[in-house]
Amino acid sequence: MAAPVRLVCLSLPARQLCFHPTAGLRGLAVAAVSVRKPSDGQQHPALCGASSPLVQAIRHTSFFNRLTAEQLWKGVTSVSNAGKKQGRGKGVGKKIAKDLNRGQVIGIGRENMVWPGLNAPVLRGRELIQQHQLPKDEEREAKLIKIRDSQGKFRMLKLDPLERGWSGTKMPGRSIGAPNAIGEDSFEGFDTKVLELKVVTCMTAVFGRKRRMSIFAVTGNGNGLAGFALSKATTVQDAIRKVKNRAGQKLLHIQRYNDHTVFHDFFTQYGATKIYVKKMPEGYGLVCHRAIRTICEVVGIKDLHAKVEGICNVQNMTKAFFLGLINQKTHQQLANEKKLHLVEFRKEQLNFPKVVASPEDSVVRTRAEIPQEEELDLTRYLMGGSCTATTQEVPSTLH
Amino acid sequence: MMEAVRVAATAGLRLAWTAVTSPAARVAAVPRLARACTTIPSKYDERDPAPLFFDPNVQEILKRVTGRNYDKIFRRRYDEKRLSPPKYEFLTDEELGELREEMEKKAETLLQMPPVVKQREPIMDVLSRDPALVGFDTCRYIFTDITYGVTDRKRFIVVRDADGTLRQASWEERDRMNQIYNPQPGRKIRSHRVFEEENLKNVLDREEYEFVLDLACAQFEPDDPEYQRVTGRVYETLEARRCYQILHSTRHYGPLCFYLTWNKKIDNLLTTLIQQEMLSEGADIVRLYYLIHPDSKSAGHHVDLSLPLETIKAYMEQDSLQRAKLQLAIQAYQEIVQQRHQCQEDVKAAHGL
Repeated sequence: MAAPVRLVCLSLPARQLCFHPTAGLRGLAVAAVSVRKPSDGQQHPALCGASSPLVQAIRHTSFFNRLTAEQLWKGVTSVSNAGKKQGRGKGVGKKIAKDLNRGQVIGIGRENMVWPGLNAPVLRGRELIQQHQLPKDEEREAKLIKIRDSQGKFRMLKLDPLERGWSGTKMPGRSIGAPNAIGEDSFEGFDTKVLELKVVTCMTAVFGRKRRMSIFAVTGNGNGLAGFALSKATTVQDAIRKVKNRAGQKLLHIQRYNDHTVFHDFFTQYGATKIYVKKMPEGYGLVCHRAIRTICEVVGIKDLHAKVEGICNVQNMTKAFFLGLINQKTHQQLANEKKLHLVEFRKEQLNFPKVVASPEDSVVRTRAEIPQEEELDLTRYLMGGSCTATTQEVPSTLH
Repeated sequence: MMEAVRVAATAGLRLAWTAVTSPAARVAAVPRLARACTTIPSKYDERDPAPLFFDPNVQEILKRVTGRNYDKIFRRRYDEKRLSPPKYEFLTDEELGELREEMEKKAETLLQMPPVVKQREPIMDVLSRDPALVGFDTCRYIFTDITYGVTDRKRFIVVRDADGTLRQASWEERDRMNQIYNPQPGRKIRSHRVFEEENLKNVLDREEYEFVLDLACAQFEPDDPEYQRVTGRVYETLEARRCYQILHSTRHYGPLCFYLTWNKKIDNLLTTLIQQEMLSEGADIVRLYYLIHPDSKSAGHHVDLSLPLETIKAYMEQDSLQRAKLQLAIQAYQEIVQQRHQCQEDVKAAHGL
């Protein structure tokens, strides 16, 4: 459909204007500037040249003047059946829009004017009614507000910001509380967080397609004790109750370095999910996938860097991360294995050698007793001789 | 090469001048009290402490009392740099020993004490008076020699005053010019406001003694009256609160002990040391006292290194100003030692040994 186009000629002091059609708006702005300053003798050099009319496209039709008010209102408050199937208009059922026209009549407004022919007859008896203002109707505003309130409350968010999960009002990342106490053993200080919530179906002979909610959650006391579990139930509430109690039954003790990070860098794998975890100093924070971050929060790890390679399947990632955590070696174990002192160097402490562990039997090998080919680099030793590929930093002079 | 510096705003300079000199004048105006418990910080302005401070015996004692707590010497410095993850190494005994030796040398440099010297004399050197130049300009001119390799103390800096006088620059002007042409890291042209008396009180109430001392070391020369005022104020606060151990194993502990000994205020320090059962350090302090005050009554007493308590007792008998307090501390210490011995005997007896 060709849109009707009207040519607009500006008869302004700057009517010598010429510009490319693509630069229409720029030209208009320049014209406006020159209108504001008619006394300004200097003209922009680009404005001088061959003259041609100012062109502006104007459409006279749009959905706004083609459709009726009812159709427009329906358009913003509902969604078509076809649209619904494609996933449009998910918030339609909720009361998010209010009809502000309700309770309002044409001709009657805030000022309470008498408009003959609109809200009053033109003649009363033989007298012609004049347009005039009546005293203000004080109750009108209150009535309108009452009508608007009766249309339901507008509520965008149901959740407190602190209770929100990873995304909006979705369950993953949300806290579902401590597991229920078993007899006298209560789970004090524990917190459970959902990692995954999805619908799973299976076909049964009796019911056909049977839907259930599958929920994967991790629980922990933020002090090195944590467990995870997967549960299914027909309703979300049942699934939540089941999963947190089951996770509470599967607790593992996780060793942490100075209660803030992992003991050492490690690599861990479950299925096709590979995770490279790096120990980080205090204040670094959790720089990793959100699922790993949530696990770290309930375990009590505060600083860590993790890179997931391969498939980011939440269940596999959790299993891989927990495997890596429980397979960590303490400094004492490492010193015992190597029969050498394990010495820590911190840059902020001017690289003072701090012995973090010595062999327990206090028999330390000498230089001569160490074979030449033995791996003495801690990270390579822990990774079984391999090392992670890291991109080389390009010196700033080469940029 | 000479370069003329036009110092604008004579009033500004005069303000800076008064800001620097007024506290000194205030302290000097107060008559010197001979009382031992005075809390007015004293300055090294009469006798020169430098020959004594740099004496090898005194240096040795000061280094010994400073202590070698490596965790404290190599503590984390808050330098606003990002932390990096720690590094680990497997080391043998020999390698560890070598590293430790290296660290001992490093500790030596970290514990190098700021020098204790006499307060500097004001410079009043007039080179020439030229009446013809009176009123030549409304501001002073400063001429600074910025030849490469000339030290800040030997640099030639002269001022042409508005009344035509050509004179050597005062210490304050010299400090300012040196910082302009040869900036020292951590030093500001206008001194830190923390050194003002009321701010200093606040920061000392927060027990940031080391911070103030480090900052003063960076900002001032050791013979600056301001430096001696600030450090004296910190030492007096430490003395009043008896928390000398905060500076233990830092480079400021030596000058603190020297200051207290110089001013004959070691009684409280000795009491604290005895309470913490650091007797050899107490004896060292007494020995330092004899070196600094050779005319004291007990100076001729024979000092036996193996009997620190005897040395302290000899001092207490003849020179101590708070004798009762010190005696009480020594008695308490002896009782504790005796009780501990008794307890060990009892445990042995209970085990049938």
